[in-house]
Amino acid sequence: MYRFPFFMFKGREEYMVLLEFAVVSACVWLLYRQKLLFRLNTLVNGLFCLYLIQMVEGIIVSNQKYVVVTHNAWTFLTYLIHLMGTVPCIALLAVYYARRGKDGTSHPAASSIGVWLAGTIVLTLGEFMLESAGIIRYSRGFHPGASWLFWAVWLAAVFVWDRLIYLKEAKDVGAC
Amino acid sequence: MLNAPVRFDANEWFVCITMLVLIVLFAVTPKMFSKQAALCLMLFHSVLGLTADMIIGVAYPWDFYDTMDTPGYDWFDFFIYTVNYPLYGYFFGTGMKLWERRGWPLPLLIAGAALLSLLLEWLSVQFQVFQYKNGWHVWDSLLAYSVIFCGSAAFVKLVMRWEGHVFYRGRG
Repeated sequence: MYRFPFFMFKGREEYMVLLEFAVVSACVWLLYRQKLLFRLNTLVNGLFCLYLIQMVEGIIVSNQKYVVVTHNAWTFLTYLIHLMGTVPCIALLAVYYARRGKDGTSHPAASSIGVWLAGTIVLTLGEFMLESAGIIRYSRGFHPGASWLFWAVWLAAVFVWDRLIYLKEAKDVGAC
Repeated sequence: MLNAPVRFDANEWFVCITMLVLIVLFAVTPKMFSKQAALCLMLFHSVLGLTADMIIGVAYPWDFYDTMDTPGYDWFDFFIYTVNYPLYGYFFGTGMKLWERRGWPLPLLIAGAALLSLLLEWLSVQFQVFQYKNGWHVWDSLLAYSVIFCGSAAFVKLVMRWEGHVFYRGRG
């Protein structure tokens, strides 16, 4: 019922790795184009995303809300790239577009809430893909609705963190 | 949600005491990094610990140890990843800055940090913070720490370089 069209990849983990790799590459290229890649602020945000996702995933997996089916190198690599590449990169891009919308420097249509919603949908779809490909398996009543809520809260936490850090940085630079 | 420990015994005390010592040290030592750079170092070492544990301490590809009372996360795992690892990494960064200022060779610091970490790990094994399995031995950790602190040193250098860049822009 909840199968994402990428169910065709089930059992073809090699394609999933390539897909994740392609998404990460595209995100990194976009970050580079926006001159965000080699900045301390991006590094702090990226590391916070990694910390938050690994900690929360660890707690969820500990509570067996879903099981990570890493039975071979391909599935493990897919999961690793998704968790440590795709998710933080998408969050960094979302933060960037939300910031620009808020500052009014460009993308006037991109309000924080719009970007947050779009980011949540993309992250949820990413998880659908993993679930459809059989790399993670929901259990104990966890379902895509809960997954959507999870990503919504997770991305909101990243946005709040960015505002705190961004404002702090602006204040520090002003003080200099 | 996070589980409570099965029993509050030696391993929980060990985590509490080391956490307290690290926090006190952090409060009394002079700050060598900007707030953002310090945050970067702390988050990096937390992520490093989480990633290393995910790769060599969970089911696949390797499962060489469990931490605390259960294989899952409990409150004290959270404290280790959120306070202990980050502050330990921060002090490595601080040590590296002082070390470089004196012009001493960096490999010596990496070797020293790996040996100190090995000693702390041996202590934590005695207190049941880590329980080795599937043939892991404390000496195997020396290799892991050597690799980790090489990566750590490279990261500290990167942060120091970017930190300088941020300050320069700020003053300009």
